[in-house]
Amino acid sequence: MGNRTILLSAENGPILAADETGLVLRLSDRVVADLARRLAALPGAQPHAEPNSVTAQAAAAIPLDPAILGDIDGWDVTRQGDWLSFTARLPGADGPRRYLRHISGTGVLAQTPGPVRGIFSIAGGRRFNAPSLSPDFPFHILGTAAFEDADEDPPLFDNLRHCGLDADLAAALLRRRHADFRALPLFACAACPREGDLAPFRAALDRFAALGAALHKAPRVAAICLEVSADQVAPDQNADAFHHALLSQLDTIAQAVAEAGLPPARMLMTLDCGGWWGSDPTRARIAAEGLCRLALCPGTHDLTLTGSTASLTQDRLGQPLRASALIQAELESRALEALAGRENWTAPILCLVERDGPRGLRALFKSAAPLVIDTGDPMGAGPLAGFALSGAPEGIEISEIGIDPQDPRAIRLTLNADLPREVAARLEYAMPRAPDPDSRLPGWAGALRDDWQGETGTGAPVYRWALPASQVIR
Amino acid sequence: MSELHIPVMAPQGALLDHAARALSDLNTQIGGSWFDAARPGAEPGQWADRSAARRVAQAHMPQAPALFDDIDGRQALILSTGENCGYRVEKLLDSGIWSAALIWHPAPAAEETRSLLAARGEGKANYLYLHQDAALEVELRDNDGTASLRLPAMGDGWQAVMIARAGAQLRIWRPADDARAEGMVTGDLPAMADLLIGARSHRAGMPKTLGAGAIGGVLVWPGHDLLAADPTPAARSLRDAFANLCLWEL
Repeated sequence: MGNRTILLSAENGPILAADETGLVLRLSDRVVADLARRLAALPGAQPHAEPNSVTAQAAAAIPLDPAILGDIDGWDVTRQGDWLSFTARLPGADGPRRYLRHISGTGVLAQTPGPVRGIFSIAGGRRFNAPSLSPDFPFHILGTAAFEDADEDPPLFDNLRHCGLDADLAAALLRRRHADFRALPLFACAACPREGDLAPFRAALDRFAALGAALHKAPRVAAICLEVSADQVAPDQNADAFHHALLSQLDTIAQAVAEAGLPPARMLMTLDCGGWWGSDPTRARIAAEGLCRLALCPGTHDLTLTGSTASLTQDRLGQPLRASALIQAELESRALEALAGRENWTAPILCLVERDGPRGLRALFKSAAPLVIDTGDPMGAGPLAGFALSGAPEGIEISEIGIDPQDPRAIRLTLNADLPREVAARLEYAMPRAPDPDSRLPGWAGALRDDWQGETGTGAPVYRWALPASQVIR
Repeated sequence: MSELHIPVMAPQGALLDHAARALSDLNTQIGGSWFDAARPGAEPGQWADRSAARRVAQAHMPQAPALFDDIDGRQALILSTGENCGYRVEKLLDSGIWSAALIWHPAPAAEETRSLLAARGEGKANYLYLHQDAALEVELRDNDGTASLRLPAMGDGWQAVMIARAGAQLRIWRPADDARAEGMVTGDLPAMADLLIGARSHRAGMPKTLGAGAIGGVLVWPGHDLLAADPTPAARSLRDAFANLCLWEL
């Protein structure tokens, strides 16, 4: 009887005892039935196999014929609850491994450790460009975007046939983990259009949470990637109002995440510089200034600015080229890794422009590393690296720029004439110019970055370019 | 201070030893035997059957009296390495169909548990035995090595398995984790056999097959295949009762 202490005995034997884990007594069928009924009704009760499911256990013990998988190189098939579990050699970078297929017949996913991680994006059109190809780890990167057919229940997940930026981001994270023999978690991606009170985003979150429940995995949002574009600036809206509009958008997103029962999510934000055919300079200025304010005052949100799309080459239709998409995905993956390791990570952001003598200006940046003016100048920003004055009297121009020798996170600018104190001029960086059809760049040219450098899986360099900016000179 | 006593007769289902009582009742109905180390009887060199069948197990070496003692909260027959501390029920298994269950505690870490149970006929004929190896894996096999049914290790505490033979078909089942294995003996295996507890031979010798450990009890059901794929209602309820005993008492 193990190590039990008898507490109470009837004439014919003991009826109550205690062991090191608690009291020992035998409950009647009536009480057990009552417990079963009440346990199932408790909030947070896990759906599980019926206690009497001898058939389910027998099925788990009996291997199934791999022919059930169809004509694939798979073996060692067993059924576990609602899932078929098997080993197979399937396309992708990671060789033979264990996979799962839901009995409802939807796609295949890899057996992975830990939570299922969501990567969502809420953006305009450019981030939705998704060429027809599978991601590098096709069974670790699933789709849970809002399901469009209202007459049908959405499948648990989609295997991706189009590889968008979110899938590229997940693939970049997996690629480094794979190279280091680290755990390869499961990602679910959904690109959500910025429309209709975020209804597509809410639907994607619900589908993501349902996938987690079906896999008995905790759903965790790894990132929500946001694009802000000058087109979002309303007529007559100033930078201050735009800042508040962005903040209320972030509040709505955070609330939708909370309503889906998920913990608060990290947000990455990029300035969408529009197509190569050019942008409205007035709205660009307001968008850039409002975004700088948001970066410095993000409210309660965990917000990181990754830069802008200014350096990303586009095709004839203004969509990022494949190489550009990989650069952006790499940048975002590095940001997520750094933030997960509690490192400081941001694109350089112009915070303040102050006078430094009658002919000098100092531009102070929030930056995670010392600033660099790129001598290669890939965006064609010219000798002033993309800096310009606006609102200054005719004839006053910047004649020279350089890193402040006293502060590696500041730029010193020298003017060709005295800038009068009373003039409310602005210092601008990488504001859009007239379109150049040959460059296929959005035209927000700048040459300022910090000294951090990464590399995509295909070997292209990745830099942290400074965010376009427009600030009043103080 | 001692436990509280109340002067009422409690229904059997409310008693903490209800599992043992229910198994004992069923066992009596089906004509099985239960050699329970908690009730070895008073006769030296004999291990009494607690069920109504009243069969008797004889000590292999009556001159060295067997030792029953408490191991981890449970009475047990103590086995010592290299010594034959076992018991035998002669000609108990008189057909090729029978089942048995064993409750035992493996040897302490420094020593090895070896032979636990055997069904052995006359002379040098092939026979079945159950043993546990150094890695605490459990194996039911025949001496000629034509069948080997293995269960993975399950801790170093009290444990129990049920085994069954139906002709050449062998099965083993462990209720605690519902582990099971089955196999066929392809060699000859005599129908008539003695049941040997704690050894593979009732004579001195074969010291390498004799390990340490402790045996809490043996249940035997001659003529019944309790692990048949399609069990009778009686076999099903006995299996349930044994699983319940393992849950409550091990």
